[in-house]
Amino acid sequence: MKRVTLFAAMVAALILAGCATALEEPPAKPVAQGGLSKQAMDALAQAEADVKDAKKSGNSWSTATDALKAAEDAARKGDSATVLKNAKKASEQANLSQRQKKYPTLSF
Amino acid sequence: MYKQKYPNVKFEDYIHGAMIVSPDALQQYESIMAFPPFLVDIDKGKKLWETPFKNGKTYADCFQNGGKMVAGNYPYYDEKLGKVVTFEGAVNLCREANGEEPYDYGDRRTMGLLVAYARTLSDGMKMNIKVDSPGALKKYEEGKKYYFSRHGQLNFACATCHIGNAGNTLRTEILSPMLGQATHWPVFRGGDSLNTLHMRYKRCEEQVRADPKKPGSEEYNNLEYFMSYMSNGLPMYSSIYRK
Repeated sequence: MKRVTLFAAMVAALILAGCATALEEPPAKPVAQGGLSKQAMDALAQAEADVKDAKKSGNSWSTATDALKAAEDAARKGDSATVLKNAKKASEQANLSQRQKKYPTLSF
Repeated sequence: MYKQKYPNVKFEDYIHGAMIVSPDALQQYESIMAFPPFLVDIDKGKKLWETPFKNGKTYADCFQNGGKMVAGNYPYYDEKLGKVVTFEGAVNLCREANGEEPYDYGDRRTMGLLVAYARTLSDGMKMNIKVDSPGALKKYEEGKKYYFSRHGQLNFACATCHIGNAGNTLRTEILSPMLGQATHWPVFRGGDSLNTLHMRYKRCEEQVRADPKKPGSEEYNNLEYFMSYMSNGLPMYSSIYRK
């Protein structure tokens, strides 16, 4: 009888553990993983801020958005060189879009 | 400006867009419009229009004259709401007033099909947009500014193509003039791909590498307000074929 009770308790524990695992949301992958150089992390943070500002102004470019996404993807893989390259591009494109907003409107 | 460039094009022909400078394209268009391949979609839109809400009312109850010959009055500036209301916006106001969820402005299967039919009820009506209050003028000016401002990495304004280069060829496409551009939506590109005016705005912005706004956004509503005013006096004609 003791054995049966012990077995039932183990099965119940396993089922409960299984349910808990199934209910848990898969953890979101952090953008920056260990292994990224400080330079890459700084460039990524700057790019995120620049693109955010551009979007807030209502005149952002898809080239900036796409480059930031590529930088974030590279960050998940711990690829500092690619992060740096794309983050710099994202910042540059975001800053250019802000300068464009100050251009005079066309006239004919 | 267009008069100087195209002295032989009649005012009412500007609803044909780029085809004013391409008789061959206009002939093709007229052949296709004799038996439009998108009639099934118009029928689906009609069904949506005529299906009562849960409370028994219909879209026709929301619009003057049951929705007939009214689309030319849209967009208008709503003083109470303090914003521009497009025809699609009025559809969603109608839905909400009758306890229904608003449609997504970018959804072809709902808003797209519905207005593809509903706008045909105003075929022949002349565009009749009013800018008659300080609030309305502000939104008109915002729309105008958007039209003439440069966007995207390619540094294009709407006006770059549709005023400065209207009638010229860009890659394989002739650029349509701004006059008349707001009169004939939705269009079925290639005969089967439904596009509302705001979807077209979005695509234009993507093409110049700008982050596009959402269909139904304030920016696009104001832009449509300005463009529609500029087409005042031209006859509406929906839904149509475009290449």
